[in-house]
Amino acid sequence: MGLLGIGVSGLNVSQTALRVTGNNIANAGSPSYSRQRVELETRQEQLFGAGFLGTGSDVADIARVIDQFKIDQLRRDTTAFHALDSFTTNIGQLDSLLASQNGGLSDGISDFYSALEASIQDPSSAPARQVVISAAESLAKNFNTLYDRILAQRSAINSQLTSFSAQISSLGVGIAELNGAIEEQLGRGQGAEPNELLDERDELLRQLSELVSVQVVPESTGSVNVFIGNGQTLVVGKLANTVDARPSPTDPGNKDIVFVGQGSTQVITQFISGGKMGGLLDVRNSTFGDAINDIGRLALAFADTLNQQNQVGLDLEGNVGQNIFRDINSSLTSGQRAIVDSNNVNAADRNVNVTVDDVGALTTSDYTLNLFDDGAGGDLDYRLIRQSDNTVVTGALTLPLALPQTITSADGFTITLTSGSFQAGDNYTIQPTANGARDILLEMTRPQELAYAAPIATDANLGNTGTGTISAGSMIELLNGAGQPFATPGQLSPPLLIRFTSATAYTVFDNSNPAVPVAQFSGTIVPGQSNKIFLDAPGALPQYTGFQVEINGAPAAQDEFTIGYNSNSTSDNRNGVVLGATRTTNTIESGTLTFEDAYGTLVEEAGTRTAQANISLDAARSLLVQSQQARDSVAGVNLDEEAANLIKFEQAYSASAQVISVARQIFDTLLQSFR
Amino acid sequence: MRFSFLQGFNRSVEGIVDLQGRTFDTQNQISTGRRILTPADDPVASARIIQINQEQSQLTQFIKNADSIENRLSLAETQLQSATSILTRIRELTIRAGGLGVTPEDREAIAAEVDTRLDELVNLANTRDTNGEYIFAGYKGSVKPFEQTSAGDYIYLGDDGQRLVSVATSTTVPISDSGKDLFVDIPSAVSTLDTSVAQSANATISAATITNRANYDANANYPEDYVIRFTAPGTFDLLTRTDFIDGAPDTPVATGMSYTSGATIDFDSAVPPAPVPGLGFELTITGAAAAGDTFFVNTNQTQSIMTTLGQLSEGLKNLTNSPADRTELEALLANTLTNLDNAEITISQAKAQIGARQNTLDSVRTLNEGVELVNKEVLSEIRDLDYAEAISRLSLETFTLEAAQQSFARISNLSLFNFL
Repeated sequence: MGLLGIGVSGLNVSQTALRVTGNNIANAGSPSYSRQRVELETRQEQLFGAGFLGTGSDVADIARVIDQFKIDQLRRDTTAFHALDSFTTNIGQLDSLLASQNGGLSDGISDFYSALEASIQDPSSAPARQVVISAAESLAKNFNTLYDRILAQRSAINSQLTSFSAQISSLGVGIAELNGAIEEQLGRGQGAEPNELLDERDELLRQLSELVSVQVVPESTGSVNVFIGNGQTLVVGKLANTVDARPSPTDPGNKDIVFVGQGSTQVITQFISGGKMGGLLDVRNSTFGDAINDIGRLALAFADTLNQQNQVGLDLEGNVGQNIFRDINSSLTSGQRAIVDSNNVNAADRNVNVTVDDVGALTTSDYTLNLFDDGAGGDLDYRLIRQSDNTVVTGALTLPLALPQTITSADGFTITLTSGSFQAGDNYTIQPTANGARDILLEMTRPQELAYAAPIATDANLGNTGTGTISAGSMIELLNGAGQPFATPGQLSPPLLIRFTSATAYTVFDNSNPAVPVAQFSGTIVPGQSNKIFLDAPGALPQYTGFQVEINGAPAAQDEFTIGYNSNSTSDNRNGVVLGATRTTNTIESGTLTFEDAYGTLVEEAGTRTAQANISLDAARSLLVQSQQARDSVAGVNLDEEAANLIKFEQAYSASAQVISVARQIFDTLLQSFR
Repeated sequence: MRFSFLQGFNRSVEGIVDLQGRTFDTQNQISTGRRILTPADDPVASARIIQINQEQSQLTQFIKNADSIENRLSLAETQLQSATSILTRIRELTIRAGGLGVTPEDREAIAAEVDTRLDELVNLANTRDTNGEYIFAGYKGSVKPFEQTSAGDYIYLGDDGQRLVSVATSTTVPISDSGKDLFVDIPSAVSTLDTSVAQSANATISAATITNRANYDANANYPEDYVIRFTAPGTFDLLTRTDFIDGAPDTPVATGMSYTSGATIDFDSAVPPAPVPGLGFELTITGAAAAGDTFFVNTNQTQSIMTTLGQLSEGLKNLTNSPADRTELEALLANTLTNLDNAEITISQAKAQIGARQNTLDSVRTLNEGVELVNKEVLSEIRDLDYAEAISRLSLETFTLEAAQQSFARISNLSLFNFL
């Protein structure tokens, strides 16, 4: 009887082993499947007279062959790889966008200046001027398009964040359900593990780690708890919480990641790292904001510089020049540079204006304006924080409650609190540059309005006996307020006469009525040098007139020079030359970068980041491949091995069958002997 | 290490995909001819490319500028060359007019040619370029610079302006000369007087004529300008300009002078009621001058070519062979010759300047073209593909790829199951 039992146990064991082998072979192609192995154990022996006799074998366990450390490692590397992968994909798009010949700005700027240069050497040619206007228009459109395309990428990021949030939530639910099932099966199996369910849960955890960095903490019950962010519990046992993407209160154009727990919500954007979601947030925070602000600042600086310069010139019709592009501080644009935090009390009633005063001083950062009350003085207090380096740019403990109030920042802009219930605890996001590239718009339509001429003309009296000459004059600013030189269109008020009373001393006269010249001020020159007559630095009339002329050479006593309005100046290109020189003038970043330099820097930065990300991505990919292989090497199915097992267990099965056959023969032999 | 079924496939496939990616990158490089396809391929070089492209577009524009300036300068040069020929011809005529046997009729004929030449010169001075701009009008290119007044003299309506054009980053070249510099501001043999109205509603002032040059030159005030200022209707003071403008109490040269509308006021001899020291000139005021009316009489060391020629023609037509006229004629011819010399000097200086500008243009253009070439080379070096290297790389990559594919096909056939 014992032999038959042993044979049957052998048959059972071999059959189970063959089934497990078959299952392994069937699942060889499934990436999440962990190969299974039959754990055999010897049945307890029995004391049989002379000694202990074995009674066969049993299946102790069907276990997954895994290495938990390698599974954890694979999850970490998956997170790292996908973070870099989504970062690289998105930044790569920006990178090509900035550098592309069609969407890129460098050609637009180049074309504009070429047209301008060609036009200013022939200032009265209408076709040449028209080319400048067209180039300016297409450059403005280039800015707009680039802005739109960067924004489109940003909104694509936002919609991806939304879909990733949903995926994370549903994966959380899946893991929680599996936790429940695994606990139940463990109970039923009395310690035997539900291998497929465990594989499935590992796979869901791996998928989750593609999206975001997670911490997995196993429980003794067989469940795992999953944490994201800085300790938010996505899954506890059979319970799952969710995450959601919602518009940010400080910048509605961006989505915040919100953790929705049992009865509480929490913004966890800043805690999210790793995975596709972390990579997207990285790109959005570091690069896209920078790029939009960079291009915005470039647009602001370009438009303002050319506007200002055109305004100190005379157009083809002899009128003082107007803006070429829309005023950077037009009421339409300056009201859109501040975002009222939607968490402010009665947020909707605030009106905040931001005007750009000095394009050279602008940075590419956004700012936070925080109002608070230190309890003293019956007033409000404020601080303006530059977000790029978290520095308080300006702040004061006195902000009178009466409106409007202005806050001037050294970073080139002024904030005006226009109307609304401003109160302690308010926050405002100030974006001086973000909309620059969107708002640039060609305003000039008539090519005649390009102001190539300078408003003043100088002349040396024909009766002069000395060798003194007067320069053609240059403009610093055009003063056209009441009582100022250009108050009356079409004339210089007053026209000036410079008369030398000796070889070195001169007097400047108001020559409005040549019959009654009025002395204004006197000065001296050094003959043979270039002598400035007026002040360069802003000051009071008559020494500061907003323009400058120089006397060169050696004038003689009684020599006279005049400065008048430059009427009929169709061939003058002095202001045009200065307009053209704005190309090579260092305007941006406190006068260290030209327009094209600034754009080049942006391209270089984006390129460098992309290149770095590519390198890191390669490294992360090989790490991922390694850890995937490490996992597969332990848990993957080797078909040759299974083939060998197949043969092995088949033979074992045949042998056990033989044992049964022998047992029967023995039994038959015994029965025969009694016949 | 244990090797699983999936692992083997994954590893081989990944290797093949990786190789494929690299091969396609190389192919893309070869088909575009560019080493750098996106800035990420070489960020520093990409920024440099933008910079060089900027320089290139500027240089191209500079070279274009130089070409069109060249045309402009040649036009001015041609016109000035013609002006020089006219002056040379006038000089011949002037010398011929001074000949001994020349009769008033002969001089009349010479005057006729001088008039023609004067018209020709004025036409030259009023030259317009292909855009219709007057090239010698300074900044006032739309204004005809030389116009004849009703009195027959030519006045300059342009200004002093000189247009500059950039031909290199730090080099600008003047591309125009004003008519004032070329034709008006010419040192004259003898000083002349200009008159102008500073303030008057009804009265006008004629040109001033120097009647007694010895007195005029010897006067203590020379070369001071004078101001005629009416203190009451019909009564005026004569002041020096310094006295007029200095703001201190005035000490007029003569006070309480009177005039008759349209009659000559002689500032050389005594004019009732106040005597004037011999100033050597006379002029006419026409119309009713009111108190406060002011006129300027300015001494001038220069005279426009047009005036010189006009005076010559006038003299040739009107002077007879009487001894007094003969003396005057000789003085006129002598002055004219001096003025013509001065004009020729001024114009040849201008031509020399134009030549110098053309030289500047040539050297700057050579320099610009040199830089352009260097830039192109640098650009090609940092951006363009080394085809030899790329193609050998491509063949290596395709070879490796094929090897990987073939070996994969063979290895994947290996299985124990084949032998069961």
